[in-house]
Amino acid sequence: MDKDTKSARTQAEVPRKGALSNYKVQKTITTITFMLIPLLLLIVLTYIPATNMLIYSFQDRTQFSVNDSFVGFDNYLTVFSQPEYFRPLLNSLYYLAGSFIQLSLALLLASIICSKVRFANIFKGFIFFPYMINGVAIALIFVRFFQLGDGFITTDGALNSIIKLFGGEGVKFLSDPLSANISLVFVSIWRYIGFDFVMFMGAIQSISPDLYEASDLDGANSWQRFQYIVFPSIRPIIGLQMILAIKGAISVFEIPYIMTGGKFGTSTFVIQTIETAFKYNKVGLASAMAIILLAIIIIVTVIQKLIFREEA
Amino acid sequence: MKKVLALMLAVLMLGSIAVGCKKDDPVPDTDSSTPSSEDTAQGGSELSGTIKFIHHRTDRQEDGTMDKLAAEFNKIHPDVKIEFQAITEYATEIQTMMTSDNYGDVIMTPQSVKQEELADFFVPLGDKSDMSEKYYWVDGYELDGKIYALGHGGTASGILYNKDVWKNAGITDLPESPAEFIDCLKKIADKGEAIPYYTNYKDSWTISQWQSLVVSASGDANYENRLLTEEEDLFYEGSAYDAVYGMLYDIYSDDSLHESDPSTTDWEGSKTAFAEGNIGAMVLGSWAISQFQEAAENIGVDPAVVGYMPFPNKVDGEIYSVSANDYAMSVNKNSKNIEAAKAFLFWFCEESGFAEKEGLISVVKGNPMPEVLSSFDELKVKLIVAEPAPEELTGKFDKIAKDSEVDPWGDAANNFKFKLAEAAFGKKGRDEYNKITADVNKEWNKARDSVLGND
Repeated sequence: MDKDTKSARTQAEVPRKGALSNYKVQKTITTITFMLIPLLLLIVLTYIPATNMLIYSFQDRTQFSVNDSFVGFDNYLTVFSQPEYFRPLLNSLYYLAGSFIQLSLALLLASIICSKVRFANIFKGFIFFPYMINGVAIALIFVRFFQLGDGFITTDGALNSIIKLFGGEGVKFLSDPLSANISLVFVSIWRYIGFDFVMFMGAIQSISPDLYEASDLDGANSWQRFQYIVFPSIRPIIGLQMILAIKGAISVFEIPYIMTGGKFGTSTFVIQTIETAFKYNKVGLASAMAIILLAIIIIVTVIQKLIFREEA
Repeated sequence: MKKVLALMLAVLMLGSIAVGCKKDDPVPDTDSSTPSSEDTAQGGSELSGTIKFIHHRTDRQEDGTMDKLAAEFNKIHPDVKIEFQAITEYATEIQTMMTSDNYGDVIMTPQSVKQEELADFFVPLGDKSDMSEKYYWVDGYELDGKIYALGHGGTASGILYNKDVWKNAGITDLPESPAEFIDCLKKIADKGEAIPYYTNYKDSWTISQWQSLVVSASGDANYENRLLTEEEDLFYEGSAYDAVYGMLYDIYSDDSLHESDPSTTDWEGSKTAFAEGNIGAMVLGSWAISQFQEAAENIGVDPAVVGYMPFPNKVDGEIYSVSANDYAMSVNKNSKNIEAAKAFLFWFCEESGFAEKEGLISVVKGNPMPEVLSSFDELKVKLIVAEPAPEELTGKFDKIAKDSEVDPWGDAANNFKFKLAEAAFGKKGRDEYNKITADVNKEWNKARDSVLGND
């Protein structure tokens, strides 16, 4: 620092050209100092662990491994040659289907709230609120919500109470692979719809009112207005949301892990990866699975980007 | 599961501390000069001095049990003054204390002290040849023919049941085979006043409790080693695994025998419900007994409703149960009153009645079972202590378990126990059971052959 200021002072004595380079030096110093800490954190907390993971994925190693040996692509071969490692990835299809429902629902709600509705702010609050609740709390709430009482220890949850009120039979929502996955997707939609909703609303509100006025003069109905004004304007946001939705669907973890522990066929690829590392002590193999997950997400993102760039 | 986790953590932390604990100075000659502990224990009133007993039972310290025991002890040895120190985070804190010489006189032997380090910290309590005849669980504390620690009580494997519920259903004799056990559950179901078997399925760790029945079902202390040396399949008609998990499959297959929605069970709630007489039975280690008794006391129910029975499976006409000891006790080799400390240790383990009150099995072979395990006497259960693996097989069982992902003790979502349970819940029938277990055998044998190197 001291050295820098000294050199800056000597340069300042040279007129005009010196003043410019003085500014440049200062600019460089400022940039570097501002970047230093974020970059350091990024490198220490993201890039080094990620590089390690890449290295681990070529090793046969356990949690407290002392003598790890490199095994080339063995770990990758194991994952690709044994279908049971990939089966949990199929469950992501449930979440993918769910995320399209979630996006359309969020878009619908955002459009409704943005047209002149009474108590719009209250509705906004209600819709966004679930997104702010901790995932563990949500999981606990919904285990209770889906519960089927046994008449001795547990009582019926809200959903089964309603079903029985209308004369239906109690359903074990979480004790059957199909209904358990659908129930978990429902919880996921409930939780994340607020975020999509807020993003869409922000985008819709940034559309210039002049366009609406012009369309009113031309006699457009509200569907035409959506089709020709709203949708084209918020297209980049929809693209972004879809990438996030796909990424989310592939890497689902929290809700199924807490609600069912991956039992009843609700395991996901991330749960599988974690259990491979920490319950079966195969850190090398789990690292390979994590790298594969990363690759899938990168590929999906690139495809998405290409499609949207062409259309734009 | 928490226990296992805590243990692992403790071992981890202690691994590093233990290095610091090792002392270079040679073992003092207390070794040779110590007369046989028995003599001193009976020796009598000439013992004097102050000894400090450091232990983990904060609950029994707070409710005055320990002080009462000290008063009892002083009736025999009036000149010995006993001080207590109860530590909540015992496993970790005692390790820190053991880096100095100052770690009380009598302590609960930390599990992290390795067998070959015993003489660095403790005085020998007697010769192995004498002690292993008289006491359970001493083999693990032997070094050069001497024993350095004595268990103050032990646990057994089996099934927790509510005595009142079983009596009300008209069951007089305890079951002696898995089929009889299921008949008993059916009687409870017919009575309709309780859930016959509560799975606690939502909490993944509970299913691993079934695994603790396997060695008992085999009736062979060497069973796990035999699986490796004799290359036995885990599952075949009549194997110990088949007996245990076959019973699980049959119970889980019958909706009337367990709760209606297994994925929304409630572990904490099940303790109270059990005490209230809403649950017939649960497979849990005997460590759970005290928690269920406490839950009963909390709602004003006599804790005697908590019963415990062995896994009902006869091998050559006998029922077996695996027992393991709770913390053992040792005497600090730096103690100034070694004789008094030893006298207290032997008295505490043998005569204090502490183990019986806690529902633990007495360390003295042939002593009657505690009240809660009275069914063990009734059925003339033979206690076995699982043999440690021979040196060349150390750690191999675990390695095979993880490599094959069969993991008998594990609770990952793709564990075979969950596959069996869910096939049973889904009423897939015996064919599915055979398919899953055949798969388990295949994976296990493949990993075993590669780990043991006999392809």
